Amino acid sequence: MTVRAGLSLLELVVALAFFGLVAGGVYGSVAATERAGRMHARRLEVAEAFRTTVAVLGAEVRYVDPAADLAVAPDSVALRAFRGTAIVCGEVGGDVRVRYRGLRDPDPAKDSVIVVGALGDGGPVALAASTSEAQGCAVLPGESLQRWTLGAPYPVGTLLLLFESGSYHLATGAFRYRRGAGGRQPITGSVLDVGASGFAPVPTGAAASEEGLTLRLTASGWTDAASPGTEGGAPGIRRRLGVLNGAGNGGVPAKGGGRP
Amino acid sequence: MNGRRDGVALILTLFALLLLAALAAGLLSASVQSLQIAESVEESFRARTAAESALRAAVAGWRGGPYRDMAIGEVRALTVASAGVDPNLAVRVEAERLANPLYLLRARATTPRGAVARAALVIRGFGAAELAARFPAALATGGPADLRDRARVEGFDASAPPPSIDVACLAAAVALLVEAAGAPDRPAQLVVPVDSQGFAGIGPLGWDDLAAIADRTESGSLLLGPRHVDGGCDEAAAGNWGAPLDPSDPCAAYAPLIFAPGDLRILGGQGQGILVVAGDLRLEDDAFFAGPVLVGGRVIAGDSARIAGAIAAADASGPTTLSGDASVVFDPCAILRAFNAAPALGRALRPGGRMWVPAF
Repeated sequence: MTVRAGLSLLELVVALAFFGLVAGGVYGSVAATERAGRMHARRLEVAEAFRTTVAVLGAEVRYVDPAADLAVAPDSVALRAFRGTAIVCGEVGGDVRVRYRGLRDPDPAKDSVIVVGALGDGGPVALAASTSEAQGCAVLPGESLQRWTLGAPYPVGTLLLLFESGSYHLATGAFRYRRGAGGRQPITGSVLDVGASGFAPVPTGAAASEEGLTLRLTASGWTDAASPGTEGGAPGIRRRLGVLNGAGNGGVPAKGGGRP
Repeated sequence: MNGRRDGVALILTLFALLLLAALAAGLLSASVQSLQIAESVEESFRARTAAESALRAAVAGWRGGPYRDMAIGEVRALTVASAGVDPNLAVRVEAERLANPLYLLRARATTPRGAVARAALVIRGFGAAELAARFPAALATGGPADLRDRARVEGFDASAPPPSIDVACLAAAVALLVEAAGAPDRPAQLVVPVDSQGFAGIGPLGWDDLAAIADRTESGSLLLGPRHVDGGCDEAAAGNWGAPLDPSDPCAAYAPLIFAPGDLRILGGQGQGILVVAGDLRLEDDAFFAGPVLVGGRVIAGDSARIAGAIAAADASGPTTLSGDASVVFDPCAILRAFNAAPALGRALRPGGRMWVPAF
């Protein structure tokens, strides 16, 4: 007769208890790590939304003329969004031939043009048509040759700024862009508390170097009160987006300045 | 008993370690990605700051003279002061002449990691023609001028220029007059309505602007003459308004924009440039001035005082009076030389509303 070894009840209880301890520890570690991972991912998403908003809006407003191109409301910023620059290099049949460079090709359906005048001023004119030209002027690297219909010819050497009218919004949890009368397209994920976020112009009388707008962003749905942040425990930022063409720009005055 | 024991502890442990490692790797990956984004943002910021700083340095160091002859559309590379620009970045600045006369300055900065930023701004120079347009005659006054004794005023006839005109500059001077007013000839005298813009300044510069950018501010009585230091022209010396009568003098090329906030009395000597007097201008003895003269009050010139250039006097305090052997001769060369040489008019000026423009 063969004697076979077996598990005693005591051994079984000890084994199960030991297994439970180990499994509980492993589960706790995995759960904590997974929770940290989710928190980290969410923070990254929020940080990315903040970064994108600051970068996009900061780049858009940096070179605008705040008096002519910018209107700031608590939940939106309407502006002329520049998409290209051109320099008149000739005239063809009442149109202008231009050397153009920009983010995209001009689109007469949505673009207009600012004609920069002798004093750096100048109003917008409609871009009725634009077509590519093969020859007529020498272009520099990065430029293309185009024919624009502006309703009037302009002298060679005139600087033209191509823009579309757009507005940036904080709506339904995201930072959004609206071109013309179109819909508001999201630029960031829906991670913002738009009620606690907003825009504000820099107060009148601020130093020229401080001109621009103030941006306040707060993340939404943040329940971790222990999280560092600026708005009720939720991550948040405040940024001043500078405008270089401020009123303190100085420069040449209007023609016929006053007598002493 | 065969000595072999079944168990799952090792497998479970390995599985748990694998799970933890995967989660940790995910966290690490996210952190690395976050770090890369932050570095990219920093690189972009460095590049943008360098491009904008280079443009500011270019504006600060801008002297219009070398760029006035640029043809519209011509592009020139600029050398900018390295102070304030990150030396680890490659920065290129160039100027393109636009119409009007504007210049488009473009900067491109590249970081060692390849981040690129562009910036551009528009600056304004002065065209001699827009400045010369404010001097339509040898003597333009707000009311009839009073000429006495042997005083004389001579206009300019391009077909028979006076012998005192520098022939070398005649072609350019005539072109300037044509550009300014469509024709080269200028009358001796002209009465300009005071309420017009005829005495409101020079070109786009009003009186306040002329005062603000002037190379020299003068008042009281002055005896003019070139002053020298270490063999060069002492431009800071009192009474030194250059040497128009001696081309070999170290001060021959010095032609400042001079502003007098009140009355000014020239006791004698020689000078050149652009003279702007808010009050009355009195010229005595052998005083000689070459260049355009703008006066808010009136001009009183006597003895053998001479002006080679042009006078625009609003006559706010009475009629302009020339007596004795005083003379005013319209000299387009002296006017052109003054506009081109005055340091104040060589600076880069910022256009009013829109200086920085987007760059692509």
